[in-house]
Amino acid sequence: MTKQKSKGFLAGLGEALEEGLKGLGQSQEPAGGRPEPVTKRVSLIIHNPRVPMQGNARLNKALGWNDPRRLVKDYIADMLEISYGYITYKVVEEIEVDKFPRKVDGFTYDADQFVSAWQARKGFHDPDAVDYLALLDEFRMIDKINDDKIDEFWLFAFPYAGYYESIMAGPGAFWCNAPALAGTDHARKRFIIMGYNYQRGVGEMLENFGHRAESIMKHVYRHKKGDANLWEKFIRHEQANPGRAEVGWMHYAPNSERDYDWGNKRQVLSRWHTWQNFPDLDGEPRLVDSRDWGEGDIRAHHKWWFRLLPHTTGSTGGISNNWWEYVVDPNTVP
Amino acid sequence: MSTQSSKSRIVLLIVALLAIALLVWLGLRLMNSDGNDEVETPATVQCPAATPEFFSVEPVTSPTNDLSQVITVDLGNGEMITITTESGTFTAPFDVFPKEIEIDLLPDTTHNLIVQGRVREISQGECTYGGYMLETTRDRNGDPLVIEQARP
Repeated sequence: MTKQKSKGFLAGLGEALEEGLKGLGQSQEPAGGRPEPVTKRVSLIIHNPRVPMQGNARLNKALGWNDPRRLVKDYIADMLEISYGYITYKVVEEIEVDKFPRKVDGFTYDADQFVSAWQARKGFHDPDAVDYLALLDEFRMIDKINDDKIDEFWLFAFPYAGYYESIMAGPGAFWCNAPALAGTDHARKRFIIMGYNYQRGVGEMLENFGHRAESIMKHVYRHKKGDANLWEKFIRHEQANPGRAEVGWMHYAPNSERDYDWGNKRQVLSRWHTWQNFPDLDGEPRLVDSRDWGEGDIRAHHKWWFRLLPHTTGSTGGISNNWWEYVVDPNTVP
Repeated sequence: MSTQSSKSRIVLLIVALLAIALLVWLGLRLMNSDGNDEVETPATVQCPAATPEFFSVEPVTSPTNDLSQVITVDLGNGEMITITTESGTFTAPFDVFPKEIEIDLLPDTTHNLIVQGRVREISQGECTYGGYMLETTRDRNGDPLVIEQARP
Protein backbone atom coordinates (compact mmCIF):
# COMPACT_ATOMS: atom_id res chain seq x y z
CA MET A 1 0.00 0.00 0.00
CA THR A 2 1.44 3.36 -0.99
CA LYS A 3 0.34 6.76 0.15
CA GLN A 4 1.35 9.66 -2.06
CA LYS A 5 1.61 13.21 -0.81
CA SER A 6 1.30 16.16 -3.14
CA LYS A 7 4.39 18.28 -3.71
CA GLY A 8 4.96 21.80 -4.99
CA PHE A 9 3.95 24.85 -3.00
CA LEU A 10 2.92 22.98 0.13
CA ALA A 11 6.05 20.83 0.08
CA GLY A 12 8.10 23.97 -0.29
CA LEU A 13 6.25 25.53 2.60
CA GLY A 14 6.96 22.41 4.69
CA GLU A 15 10.66 22.58 3.87
CA ALA A 16 10.80 26.28 4.65
CA LEU A 17 9.09 25.70 7.98
CA GLU A 18 11.44 22.83 8.75
CA GLU A 19 14.49 24.92 7.96
CA GLY A 20 13.14 27.70 10.13
CA LEU A 21 12.49 25.35 13.03
CA LYS A 22 15.91 23.73 12.60
CA GLY A 23 17.46 27.16 12.76
CA LEU A 24 15.53 27.89 15.92
CA GLY A 25 16.65 24.62 17.48
CA GLN A 26 20.26 25.27 16.66
CA SER A 27 20.17 28.74 18.05
CA GLN A 28 18.76 27.44 21.34
CA GLU A 29 21.33 24.63 21.66
CA PRO A 30 24.52 25.18 19.71
CA ALA A 31 25.95 22.16 17.92
CA GLY A 32 29.37 20.84 18.83
CA GLY A 33 29.13 21.01 22.61
CA ARG A 34 29.32 18.17 25.06
CA PRO A 35 25.94 16.81 26.18
CA GLU A 36 25.20 16.76 29.88
CA PRO A 37 26.20 13.29 31.20
CA VAL A 38 23.50 10.97 32.53
CA THR A 39 23.46 8.16 35.07
CA LYS A 40 21.10 5.20 34.73
CA ARG A 41 20.24 2.85 37.56
CA VAL A 42 20.47 -0.83 36.78
CA SER A 43 18.96 -3.85 38.45
CA LEU A 44 21.33 -6.75 37.78
CA ILE A 45 19.66 -10.16 37.95
CA ILE A 46 22.04 -13.10 37.60
CA HIS A 47 20.62 -16.56 37.13
CA ASN A 48 23.53 -18.66 38.32
CA PRO A 49 22.23 -21.80 40.01
CA ARG A 50 24.31 -24.19 42.07
CA VAL A 51 25.12 -27.52 40.42
CA PRO A 52 24.86 -30.56 42.76
CA MET A 53 26.85 -32.87 40.46
CA GLN A 54 29.68 -30.33 40.49
CA GLY A 55 29.99 -30.01 44.26
CA ASN A 56 27.32 -27.28 44.42
CA ALA A 57 29.53 -24.89 42.48
CA ARG A 58 27.78 -22.03 40.74
CA LEU A 59 26.98 -22.80 37.11
CA ASN A 60 29.51 -20.32 35.70
CA LYS A 61 32.31 -21.89 37.76
CA ALA A 62 31.19 -25.45 37.14
CA LEU A 63 31.46 -24.92 33.39
CA GLY A 64 34.47 -22.61 33.36
CA TRP A 65 32.57 -19.56 32.21
CA ASN A 66 33.13 -15.90 32.99
CA ASP A 67 32.43 -14.06 36.21
CA PRO A 68 29.36 -11.93 35.42
CA ARG A 69 30.38 -9.21 37.89
CA ARG A 70 33.73 -8.82 36.18
CA LEU A 71 31.97 -8.59 32.81
CA VAL A 72 29.60 -5.94 34.14
CA LYS A 73 32.46 -3.89 35.54
CA ASP A 74 34.38 -3.93 32.25
CA TYR A 75 31.25 -3.30 30.21
CA ILE A 76 30.25 -0.26 32.28
CA ALA A 77 33.78 1.11 31.84
CA ASP A 78 33.57 0.55 28.09
CA MET A 79 30.20 2.30 27.88
CA LEU A 80 31.52 5.34 29.72
CA GLU A 81 34.55 5.46 27.44
CA ILE A 82 32.81 4.99 24.09
CA SER A 83 30.04 7.47 24.91
CA TYR A 84 32.69 10.11 25.68
CA GLY A 85 31.62 10.19 29.31
CA TYR A 86 27.89 10.54 28.54
CA ILE A 87 26.49 7.36 30.10
CA THR A 88 27.30 6.04 33.54
CA TYR A 89 25.50 2.83 34.34
CA LYS A 90 25.22 2.23 38.05
CA VAL A 91 24.19 -1.15 39.43
CA VAL A 92 21.95 -0.21 42.35
CA GLU A 93 20.51 -3.67 42.89
CA GLU A 94 22.08 -7.10 42.41
CA ILE A 95 20.15 -10.33 42.71
CA GLU A 96 21.82 -13.70 42.25
CA VAL A 97 19.23 -16.38 41.65
CA ASP A 98 19.87 -19.99 42.61
CA LYS A 99 17.59 -21.46 39.96
CA PHE A 100 16.87 -21.43 36.24
CA PRO A 101 14.36 -19.01 34.78
CA ARG A 102 11.00 -20.43 33.71
CA LYS A 103 10.44 -21.02 30.02
CA VAL A 104 7.38 -19.67 28.26
CA ASP A 105 5.67 -23.09 28.47
CA GLY A 106 6.35 -23.38 32.20
CA PHE A 107 9.39 -25.67 31.91
CA THR A 108 12.35 -25.08 34.24
CA TYR A 109 15.70 -26.88 34.02
CA ASP A 110 17.27 -28.37 37.06
CA ALA A 111 20.99 -27.78 37.29
CA ASP A 112 22.23 -31.33 36.73
CA GLN A 113 19.90 -31.76 33.78
CA PHE A 114 21.17 -28.56 32.18
CA VAL A 115 24.84 -29.45 32.70
CA SER A 116 24.25 -32.88 31.13
CA ALA A 117 22.60 -31.24 28.13
CA TRP A 118 25.48 -28.80 27.83
CA GLN A 119 28.06 -31.55 27.99
CA ALA A 120 26.22 -33.47 25.28
CA ARG A 121 25.33 -30.29 23.39
CA LYS A 122 21.88 -31.68 22.90
CA GLY A 123 18.68 -32.13 24.81
CA PHE A 124 18.00 -28.43 25.32
CA HIS A 125 14.40 -27.55 25.94
CA ASP A 126 12.20 -26.39 23.09
CA PRO A 127 10.67 -23.79 23.18
CA ASP A 128 13.74 -21.97 24.42
CA ALA A 129 12.06 -18.61 25.09
CA VAL A 130 11.85 -17.42 28.68
CA ASP A 131 8.59 -16.33 30.33
CA TYR A 132 9.11 -12.57 30.56
CA LEU A 133 5.85 -11.95 32.35
CA ALA A 134 6.99 -14.32 35.09
CA LEU A 135 10.27 -12.41 35.37
CA LEU A 136 8.40 -9.10 35.53
CA ASP A 137 6.31 -10.46 38.32
CA GLU A 138 9.06 -12.24 40.27
CA PHE A 139 11.38 -9.24 40.31
CA ARG A 140 8.62 -6.60 40.59
CA MET A 141 10.07 -4.86 37.59
CA ILE A 142 7.15 -2.58 36.84
CA ASP A 143 6.83 -1.51 40.48
CA LYS A 144 10.52 -0.57 40.49
CA ILE A 145 10.06 1.45 37.30
CA ASN A 146 6.93 3.13 38.60
CA ASP A 147 8.58 3.91 41.94
CA ASP A 148 11.48 5.47 40.02
CA LYS A 149 13.98 3.12 41.65
CA ILE A 150 15.36 1.51 38.49
CA ASP A 151 15.88 2.64 34.89
CA GLU A 152 16.67 -0.70 33.27
CA PHE A 153 17.19 -4.38 34.01
CA TRP A 154 20.17 -6.50 33.05
CA LEU A 155 19.49 -10.21 33.04
CA PHE A 156 22.59 -12.39 33.08
CA ALA A 157 22.53 -16.10 32.40
CA PHE A 158 23.93 -19.07 30.51
CA PRO A 159 23.55 -20.20 26.88
CA TYR A 160 20.01 -21.35 26.05
CA ALA A 161 18.55 -19.19 28.81
CA GLY A 162 15.95 -18.00 26.32
CA TYR A 163 16.48 -14.28 26.75
CA TYR A 164 16.26 -11.73 23.99
CA GLU A 165 19.43 -9.65 23.79
CA SER A 166 17.19 -6.70 24.54
CA ILE A 167 13.47 -6.13 24.77
CA MET A 168 11.46 -2.98 25.42
CA ALA A 169 8.47 -2.76 27.74
CA GLY A 170 6.05 -0.07 28.85
CA PRO A 171 3.59 2.24 27.11
CA GLY A 172 4.45 2.83 23.46
CA ALA A 173 7.27 0.27 23.53
CA PHE A 174 8.59 -0.60 20.09
CA TRP A 175 10.89 -3.13 18.46
CA CYS A 176 14.22 -3.32 20.31
CA ASN A 177 15.81 -6.32 18.63
CA ALA A 178 12.71 -8.12 19.88
CA PRO A 179 8.98 -7.46 19.72
CA ALA A 180 7.69 -4.96 22.28
CA LEU A 181 6.83 -6.81 25.50
CA ALA A 182 3.05 -7.13 25.59
CA GLY A 183 1.13 -6.69 28.81
CA THR A 184 3.29 -3.88 30.17
CA ASP A 185 1.30 -0.80 29.13
CA HIS A 186 0.49 -0.05 32.76
CA ALA A 187 4.11 0.90 33.48
CA ARG A 188 4.65 4.65 33.84
CA LYS A 189 7.32 4.74 31.14
CA ARG A 190 9.21 2.64 28.64
CA PHE A 191 12.11 0.55 29.89
CA ILE A 192 14.53 -2.00 28.50
CA ILE A 193 15.45 -5.44 29.75
CA MET A 194 18.84 -6.57 28.49
CA GLY A 195 19.78 -10.24 28.24
CA TYR A 196 23.46 -11.09 28.62
CA ASN A 197 25.34 -14.38 28.65
CA TYR A 198 28.27 -15.04 30.98
CA GLN A 199 29.65 -17.73 28.69
CA ARG A 200 30.59 -14.87 26.35
CA GLY A 201 32.66 -11.71 26.76
CA VAL A 202 32.33 -7.94 26.89
CA GLY A 203 32.46 -7.81 23.08
CA GLU A 204 29.21 -9.77 22.89
CA MET A 205 27.64 -7.53 25.56
CA LEU A 206 28.50 -4.54 23.40
CA GLU A 207 26.93 -6.32 20.45
CA ASN A 208 23.71 -6.80 22.46
CA PHE A 209 23.69 -3.08 23.17
CA GLY A 210 24.58 -2.35 19.54
CA HIS A 211 21.51 -4.15 18.26
CA ARG A 212 19.45 -2.18 20.76
CA ALA A 213 21.00 1.01 19.38
CA GLU A 214 20.25 -0.07 15.81
CA SER A 215 16.60 -0.78 16.59
CA ILE A 216 16.11 2.50 18.41
CA MET A 217 17.87 4.67 15.84
CA LYS A 218 15.94 3.04 13.00
CA HIS A 219 12.78 3.96 14.88
CA VAL A 220 13.95 7.52 15.55
CA TYR A 221 14.53 8.06 11.83
CA ARG A 222 11.43 6.16 10.70
CA HIS A 223 9.83 9.23 9.11
CA LYS A 224 12.97 10.45 7.37
CA LYS A 225 13.45 9.52 3.77
CA GLY A 226 16.36 9.76 1.37
CA ASP A 227 19.31 11.93 2.36
CA ALA A 228 17.45 13.15 5.47
CA ASN A 229 17.74 9.68 6.97
CA LEU A 230 21.17 9.96 8.54
CA TRP A 231 20.80 6.61 10.25
CA GLU A 232 20.49 4.83 6.90
CA LYS A 233 23.56 6.74 5.80
CA PHE A 234 25.54 5.81 8.93
CA ILE A 235 25.01 2.06 8.47
CA ARG A 236 26.00 1.90 4.81
CA HIS A 237 28.70 -0.65 3.98
CA GLU A 238 30.37 -1.75 0.78
CA GLN A 239 28.52 -5.03 0.41
CA ALA A 240 25.08 -3.38 0.34
CA ASN A 241 26.07 0.05 -1.03
CA PRO A 242 29.06 -0.38 -3.36
CA GLY A 243 31.24 2.73 -3.44
CA ARG A 244 29.14 4.46 -0.74
CA ALA A 245 30.35 2.87 2.49
CA GLU A 246 30.16 4.89 5.68
CA VAL A 247 30.42 3.18 9.11
CA GLY A 248 28.34 0.03 8.74
CA TRP A 249 26.44 -1.73 11.50
CA MET A 250 27.17 -4.32 14.17
CA HIS A 251 27.55 -7.25 11.79
CA TYR A 252 29.11 -5.38 8.89
CA ALA A 253 32.19 -3.17 9.04
CA PRO A 254 32.61 -0.92 5.98
CA ASN A 255 34.39 -3.67 4.01
CA SER A 256 32.71 -6.82 5.38
CA GLU A 257 31.59 -9.42 2.89
CA ARG A 258 29.42 -11.39 5.31
CA ASP A 259 28.03 -11.16 8.83
CA TYR A 260 30.63 -10.80 11.61
CA ASP A 261 33.41 -10.31 9.06
CA TRP A 262 35.31 -7.71 11.09
CA GLY A 263 38.77 -9.00 10.13
CA ASN A 264 38.48 -8.53 6.38
CA LYS A 265 41.68 -7.09 4.91
CA ARG A 266 40.30 -5.92 1.56
CA GLN A 267 40.44 -2.20 1.04
CA VAL A 268 37.29 -0.25 0.19
CA LEU A 269 36.41 3.41 0.05
CA SER A 270 34.56 4.64 3.12
CA ARG A 271 33.67 7.95 4.70
CA TRP A 272 33.57 6.63 8.26
CA HIS A 273 36.06 9.25 9.43
CA THR A 274 33.62 12.07 8.60
CA TRP A 275 31.30 10.92 11.41
CA GLN A 276 33.88 12.10 13.90
CA ASN A 277 32.94 15.65 12.89
CA PHE A 278 29.16 15.24 12.96
CA PRO A 279 27.04 17.18 12.04
CA ASP A 280 29.61 18.28 9.46
CA LEU A 281 29.78 15.21 7.26
CA ASP A 282 31.88 16.74 4.51
CA GLY A 283 34.92 14.81 3.43
CA GLU A 284 36.20 12.58 0.69
CA PRO A 285 36.11 8.80 1.08
CA ARG A 286 39.33 7.05 2.03
CA LEU A 287 40.64 3.54 1.48
CA VAL A 288 40.05 1.62 4.70
CA ASP A 289 40.41 -1.94 5.99
CA SER A 290 40.15 -3.89 9.22
CA ARG A 291 43.24 -2.23 10.69
CA ASP A 292 40.94 0.73 11.45
CA TRP A 293 38.67 -1.30 13.74
CA GLY A 294 40.77 -3.95 15.44
CA GLU A 295 41.47 -6.56 12.74
CA GLY A 296 38.67 -8.90 13.64
CA ASP A 297 38.38 -8.39 17.39
CA ILE A 298 34.68 -8.12 18.24
CA ARG A 299 35.13 -5.77 21.19
CA ALA A 300 37.52 -3.50 19.29
CA HIS A 301 35.16 -3.25 16.32
CA HIS A 302 32.16 -2.48 18.45
CA LYS A 303 33.98 0.16 20.50
CA TRP A 304 35.14 1.80 17.27
CA TRP A 305 31.56 1.76 15.96
CA PHE A 306 30.05 3.27 19.10
CA ARG A 307 32.63 6.04 19.19
CA LEU A 308 31.34 7.16 15.79
CA LEU A 309 27.73 7.56 16.91
CA PRO A 310 26.92 11.28 16.89
CA HIS A 311 27.50 12.61 20.41
CA THR A 312 27.29 16.39 20.41
CA THR A 313 24.71 18.98 21.39
CA GLY A 314 22.26 20.53 18.97
CA SER A 315 19.89 18.90 16.52
CA THR A 316 19.69 18.18 12.83
CA GLY A 317 16.34 17.91 11.07
CA GLY A 318 14.58 17.88 14.44
CA ILE A 319 16.64 14.94 15.72
CA SER A 320 19.20 15.27 18.48
CA ASN A 321 22.86 15.32 17.47
CA ASN A 322 23.45 13.10 20.48
CA TRP A 323 22.12 9.70 19.40
CA TRP A 324 23.11 8.26 22.77
CA GLU A 325 20.21 10.17 24.25
CA TYR A 326 17.72 7.94 22.43
CA VAL A 327 19.69 4.73 22.78
CA VAL A 328 20.11 5.12 26.52
CA ASP A 329 16.58 6.32 27.27
CA PRO A 330 13.76 5.10 24.99
CA ASN A 331 11.43 7.63 26.62
CA THR A 332 13.19 10.38 24.68
CA VAL A 333 12.14 8.80 21.38
CA PRO A 334 9.13 10.62 19.96
CA MET B 1 -18.99 53.78 6.19
CA SER B 2 -16.01 53.68 8.51
CA THR B 3 -17.81 51.03 10.65
CA GLN B 4 -18.37 48.91 7.56
CA SER B 5 -14.76 49.34 6.56
CA SER B 6 -13.50 48.30 9.99
CA LYS B 7 -15.84 45.24 9.96
CA SER B 8 -14.48 44.27 6.57
CA ARG B 9 -10.94 44.62 7.89
CA ILE B 10 -11.76 42.37 10.87
CA VAL B 11 -13.32 39.74 8.59
CA LEU B 12 -10.32 39.91 6.29
CA LEU B 13 -7.98 39.60 9.27
CA ILE B 14 -9.84 36.51 10.56
CA VAL B 15 -9.78 34.92 7.10
CA ALA B 16 -6.07 35.68 6.79
CA LEU B 17 -5.36 34.18 10.24
CA LEU B 18 -7.35 31.06 9.40
CA ALA B 19 -5.49 30.72 6.10
CA ILE B 20 -2.13 31.08 7.87
CA ALA B 21 -3.14 28.49 10.48
CA LEU B 22 -4.21 26.08 7.72
CA LEU B 23 -0.95 26.57 5.84
CA VAL B 24 1.12 26.08 9.01
CA TRP B 25 -0.78 22.87 9.81
CA LEU B 26 -0.25 21.53 6.30
CA GLY B 27 3.39 22.58 6.41
CA LEU B 28 4.00 20.78 9.69
CA ARG B 29 2.39 17.62 8.36
CA LEU B 30 4.64 17.73 5.34
CA MET B 31 7.67 18.46 7.49
CA ASN B 32 7.12 15.26 9.40
CA SER B 33 7.59 13.32 6.20
CA ASP B 34 10.37 15.61 4.93
CA GLY B 35 8.08 16.58 2.08
CA ASN B 36 8.83 13.27 0.40
CA ASP B 37 6.56 10.40 -0.46
CA GLU B 38 5.44 8.46 2.55
CA VAL B 39 5.39 4.77 1.81
CA GLU B 40 3.58 2.27 3.92
CA THR B 41 5.05 -1.12 3.30
CA PRO B 42 3.27 -4.33 4.12
CA ALA B 43 4.19 -5.81 7.48
CA THR B 44 7.09 -8.24 7.19
CA VAL B 45 8.50 -10.66 9.69
CA GLN B 46 11.10 -8.96 11.86
CA CYS B 47 13.81 -11.23 13.18
CA PRO B 48 16.11 -10.38 16.08
CA ALA B 49 19.74 -9.94 15.06
CA ALA B 50 21.97 -12.46 16.79
CA THR B 51 25.50 -12.38 18.14
CA PRO B 52 27.92 -14.76 16.44
CA GLU B 53 28.23 -18.26 17.82
CA PHE B 54 30.98 -19.12 20.26
CA PHE B 55 34.19 -19.88 18.33
CA SER B 56 37.46 -20.68 20.04
CA VAL B 57 40.81 -22.25 19.17
CA GLU B 58 43.14 -23.60 21.84
CA PRO B 59 46.74 -22.29 21.87
CA VAL B 60 49.11 -24.11 19.51
CA THR B 61 52.54 -25.52 20.35
CA SER B 62 55.37 -23.53 18.84
CA PRO B 63 58.18 -24.06 18.10
CA THR B 64 57.95 -27.77 17.46
CA ASN B 65 60.04 -30.56 15.95
CA ASP B 66 56.95 -32.54 15.02
CA LEU B 67 55.69 -32.78 11.48
CA SER B 68 52.06 -32.67 12.56
CA GLN B 69 49.98 -31.09 15.28
CA VAL B 70 46.48 -31.46 16.63
CA ILE B 71 44.46 -28.25 16.63
CA THR B 72 41.53 -28.04 19.03
CA VAL B 73 38.53 -25.98 17.98
CA ASP B 74 35.17 -25.31 19.62
CA LEU B 75 32.20 -23.79 17.81
CA GLY B 76 28.59 -23.25 18.80
CA ASN B 77 26.22 -25.07 16.43
CA GLY B 78 29.26 -26.09 14.43
CA GLU B 79 28.99 -27.85 11.11
CA MET B 80 32.47 -27.83 9.56
CA ILE B 81 35.99 -26.71 10.45
CA THR B 82 38.63 -25.73 7.90
CA ILE B 83 42.24 -24.90 8.69
CA THR B 84 44.31 -23.27 6.00
CA THR B 85 48.05 -22.94 6.39
CA GLU B 86 51.31 -23.21 4.46
CA SER B 87 51.16 -26.99 4.47
CA GLY B 88 47.67 -27.22 2.98
CA THR B 89 43.99 -27.05 3.78
CA PHE B 90 42.49 -29.42 6.34
CA THR B 91 38.74 -29.82 6.61
CA ALA B 92 36.70 -31.91 9.00
CA PRO B 93 33.06 -32.07 10.07
CA PHE B 94 32.33 -30.65 13.50
CA ASP B 95 30.95 -33.96 14.76
CA VAL B 96 32.40 -33.92 18.27
CA PHE B 97 33.32 -31.05 20.52
CA PRO B 98 35.70 -29.70 20.96
CA LYS B 99 36.90 -30.87 17.57
CA GLU B 100 40.50 -32.04 17.24
CA ILE B 101 41.96 -31.74 13.77
CA GLU B 102 45.42 -33.01 12.91
CA ILE B 103 47.33 -30.89 10.44
CA ASP B 104 50.62 -31.63 8.68
CA LEU B 105 53.56 -29.31 9.12
CA LEU B 106 56.29 -28.58 6.59
CA PRO B 107 59.89 -28.81 7.78
CA ASP B 108 61.63 -25.56 8.65
CA THR B 109 58.52 -23.58 7.89
CA THR B 110 56.48 -20.97 9.71
CA HIS B 111 52.81 -21.91 9.58
CA ASN B 112 50.24 -19.14 9.82
CA LEU B 113 46.90 -20.74 10.57
CA ILE B 114 43.55 -19.44 9.42
CA VAL B 115 40.79 -21.36 11.16
CA GLN B 116 37.28 -21.20 9.75
CA GLY B 117 34.15 -22.61 11.28
CA ARG B 118 30.87 -23.01 9.47
CA VAL B 119 27.82 -22.57 11.68
CA ARG B 120 24.85 -24.81 10.98
CA GLU B 121 21.74 -23.10 9.64
CA ILE B 122 18.72 -23.38 11.88
CA SER B 123 15.18 -22.05 11.78
CA GLN B 124 13.29 -20.51 14.67
CA GLY B 125 9.75 -19.86 13.60
CA GLU B 126 9.96 -17.73 10.49
CA CYS B 127 13.52 -16.62 11.21
CA THR B 128 16.66 -18.33 9.97
CA TYR B 129 19.96 -18.19 11.81
CA GLY B 130 23.42 -19.60 11.24
CA GLY B 131 24.62 -20.65 7.80
CA TYR B 132 27.62 -18.34 8.09
CA MET B 133 31.36 -18.74 8.40
CA LEU B 134 33.47 -17.49 11.29
CA GLU B 135 37.19 -17.05 10.86
CA THR B 136 40.10 -16.42 13.21
CA THR B 137 43.87 -16.24 13.16
CA ARG B 138 44.12 -16.06 16.96
CA ASP B 139 43.69 -18.48 19.85
CA ARG B 140 41.32 -18.04 22.78
CA ASN B 141 43.90 -15.87 24.54
CA GLY B 142 44.23 -13.57 21.56
CA ASP B 143 47.66 -14.86 20.54
CA PRO B 144 48.44 -15.51 16.85
CA LEU B 145 47.97 -19.05 15.58
CA VAL B 146 51.52 -19.45 14.32
CA ILE B 147 53.54 -22.67 14.45
CA GLU B 148 57.28 -22.66 13.79
CA GLN B 149 58.44 -26.06 12.62
CA ALA B 150 62.16 -26.64 13.11
CA ARG B 151 64.01 -29.88 12.37
CA PRO B 152 65.33 -31.58 15.49
